[in-house]
Amino acid sequence: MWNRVGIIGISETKCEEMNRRDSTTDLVFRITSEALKDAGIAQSDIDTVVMAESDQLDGRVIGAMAMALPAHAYGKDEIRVEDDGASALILAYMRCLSDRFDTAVVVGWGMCSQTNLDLLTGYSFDPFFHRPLGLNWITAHGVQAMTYMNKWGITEEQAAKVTVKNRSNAVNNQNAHLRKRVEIAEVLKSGYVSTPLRRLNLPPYSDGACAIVLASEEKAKRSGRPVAWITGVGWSNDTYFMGDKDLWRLSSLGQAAKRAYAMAGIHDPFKEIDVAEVYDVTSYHELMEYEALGFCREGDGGKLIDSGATSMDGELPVNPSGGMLSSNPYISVGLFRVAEAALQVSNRAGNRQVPGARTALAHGMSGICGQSNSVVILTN
Amino acid sequence: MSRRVAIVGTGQTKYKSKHRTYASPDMYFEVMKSCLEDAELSVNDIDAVVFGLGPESFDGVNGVDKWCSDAAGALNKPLMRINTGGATGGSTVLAALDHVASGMFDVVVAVSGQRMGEGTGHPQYGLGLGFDPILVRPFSVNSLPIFSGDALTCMNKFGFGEYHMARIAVKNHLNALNNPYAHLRINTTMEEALKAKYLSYPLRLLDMCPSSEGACAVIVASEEKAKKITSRPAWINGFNAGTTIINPGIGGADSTTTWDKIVWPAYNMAGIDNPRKQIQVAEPYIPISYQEIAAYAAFGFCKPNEVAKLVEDGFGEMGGEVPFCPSGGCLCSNTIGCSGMARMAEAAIQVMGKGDARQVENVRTALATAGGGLFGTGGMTAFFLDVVVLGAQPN
Amino acid sequence: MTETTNVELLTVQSSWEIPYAYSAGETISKFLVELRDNARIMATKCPKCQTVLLPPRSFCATCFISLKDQWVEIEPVGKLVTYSICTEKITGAPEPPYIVAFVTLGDSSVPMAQFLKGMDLSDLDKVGKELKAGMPVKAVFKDRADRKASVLDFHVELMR
Repeated sequence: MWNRVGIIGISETKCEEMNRRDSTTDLVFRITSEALKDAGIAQSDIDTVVMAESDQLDGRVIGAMAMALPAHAYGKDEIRVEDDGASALILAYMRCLSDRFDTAVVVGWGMCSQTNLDLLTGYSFDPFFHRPLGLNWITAHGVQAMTYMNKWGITEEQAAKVTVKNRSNAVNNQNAHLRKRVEIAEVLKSGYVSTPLRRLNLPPYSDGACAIVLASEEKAKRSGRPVAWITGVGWSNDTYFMGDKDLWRLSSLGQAAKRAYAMAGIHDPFKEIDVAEVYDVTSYHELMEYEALGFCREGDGGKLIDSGATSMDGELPVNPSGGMLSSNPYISVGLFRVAEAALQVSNRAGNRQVPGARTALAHGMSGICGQSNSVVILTN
Repeated sequence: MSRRVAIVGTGQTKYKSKHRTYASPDMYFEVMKSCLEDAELSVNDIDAVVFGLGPESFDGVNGVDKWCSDAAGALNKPLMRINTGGATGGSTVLAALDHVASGMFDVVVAVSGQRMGEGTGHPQYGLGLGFDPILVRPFSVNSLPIFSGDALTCMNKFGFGEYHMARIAVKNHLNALNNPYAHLRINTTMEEALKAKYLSYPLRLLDMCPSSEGACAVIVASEEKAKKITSRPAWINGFNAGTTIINPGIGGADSTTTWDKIVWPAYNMAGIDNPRKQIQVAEPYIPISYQEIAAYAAFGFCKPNEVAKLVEDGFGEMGGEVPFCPSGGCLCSNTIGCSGMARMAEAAIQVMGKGDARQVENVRTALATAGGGLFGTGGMTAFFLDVVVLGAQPN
Repeated sequence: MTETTNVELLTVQSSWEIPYAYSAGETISKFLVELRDNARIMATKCPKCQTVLLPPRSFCATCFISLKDQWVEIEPVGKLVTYSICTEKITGAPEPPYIVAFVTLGDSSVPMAQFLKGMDLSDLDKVGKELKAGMPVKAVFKDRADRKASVLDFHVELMR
């Protein structure tokens, strides 16, 4: 029904606390060059460049103006999405679906070491009703996690299991920032930041970048590269006001998943998806995401982690890469999720490979408290 | 072949220095209402929303699109945010076009805006943040000296003078009197224009765009839906976008030097080989008077050494051969993240015959552009141009 | 990628210094002025779906109609919906510990965010066990002289 579009090139930097070797420009140039090399194409082969970048994080307005050139966009139709990287991937995908473009490069980056992410996210709130209360991504997610916990009786232990699982998975991912195992007791002893969120329920602050090359069917097949075909996409947006929605569920993620599954012909996500890379902005959010993605029933996120189904040796491993709880280059997190999902179905995920993975799901999030969500389904 | 896409409705707020009656969500709600009314659609007819906003340093909220998403009609809908600096408004329309051309959606709204008046410092400070923080910003550079240098380059290169710039300035300001949305609505004369104070030689007060707040929305639809929604869609027959490096003054380059490379692919797509004969109106993104003069050549309406004569003959005036900026253009209203879309909306208004007092007669094809970026910082800075060619008939 | 180890790698300090005077617009201004001048909490009500919105909005997002002049007064008592206790200092946020709560007040259909005060925060475990969704709360206003037409002109407390 749709023209097929596939991922033929992937590059990721190692995510780290502070990358002093690269200015943002160097970073973008390097990651784009590596993705092109991985895809086996030259700059002249690129039809369009889609960037995912946050001006505020980069500390310069019109960041695309500076980064277009290192992103190899000279002379090209280039556009920037100031949203999570998965959105940029989706725009590039739509461009390749129309016959105007055959090859797209998607580049996303975030250097959290350059500024204070907590302060920045505070500015996401309106100055009238929410900013005066000091709300930022941590305190707002604290309220959300508290609501979820109290609604369904989720325990701190269940949330801690998410951290333990993801940090343990990251040991196998040479590109992850935090690669040291943690135990449940350690998570439960780490101090509260905004209840119920403890420090170890929260992501680190990382520098990192990712680039992906997309090609339409003809080009992808001729590339000689393993292809991760995009078979479904969906995205949706909820209300801005935290009070206007049920904080204990990620409604727009449910809507996004429904659209992606319909496109990909998936009826039973838990059975038909082999591996998922989700946006674990807190340990509690990963549990909420199991429910919104239909991996389990509403309210059963805690039960699912208890069952071990989402561990590396379970039926549906979630975040083999270590997820956001191990690496957080802010606005590029969703693009990393897509990259990791693509590596899985291309059988290129090295030590973190889920054996025989055929269908993968990638999830990106924008805004606060799960306001906007994107889902991408990939198949080999 | 991709699906054909048309603009089926537009909306704009009035542009002002500071809209005291609006908190930002109020502004986007107003523009969405007026756009939906123009297309005779309800918010439930919209499949997806693309939100364009330029630098947040002006609005002071990180993620205005998320804050104002309800007002933009994006509740429970796919939403995406575009930011390409000054070109944002245009890029947003093209991203909406991508949504429809992909086959995934039928009716998509592109909405954009900017609150230039929320910051109490000078807008140039916000723009100055676009420059490299390590190598350039310490010099407190802003865009004025760059534009005045470029103006001098153009004057030498194309052979025009302050008189010609004043002709453009007066033309656009008088046009704005016909545009109920315009910010600056100044009934001015050549005498006044040539006596206006210099901001940065040779640029005078009336040569420069204001800093305006406001919003714009444009609804695009697939061919099938467009025909049902309105009897006069504005068909997007040609479009292109591109990024180039501009180093004005070096190698004889000026800010419009690479525009032809980006414009001609859009013309080719639309079947245009003689713009002067085939285009009846233009709404280009031109924030400073002198650029319009160079644009006559850059957009293929004449040869470079003919531009001065075209100005003298009133080529771009209402009633002239090809009216440029019947709305008054950016010179009279410039809302950074939104002006690019306003140009496309105004071009669509012309094609759809909704221009009222600013309507040009017998418009079959209109040209609109959006531009963004800051040039002349000594290398490696990109300038970005979006181009659309709208037609009363699909090609 | 090999590291260049011979060059001294620098970071350059800078910040954006941009003061703002945000336009509150007609709807939000009225809400804030009523807080300051009359210690009254006002909301807007959608005539179509009857949703009462607090804080007030100039439009209803679901019905997509204007709520201009659709004001209703809100009783300053209600219920706790959810909350979080902030215990660690975060840049840009107040000194901890403090509680951010969501409360429905009067006939409001949706909860609004507000500081919950009047709790003894020296034993956070105890507070955590005590606070439950549904507990009655009341709005407590500052003295007139201290009210600044801000959402901080009042806070909420448990009604014991």
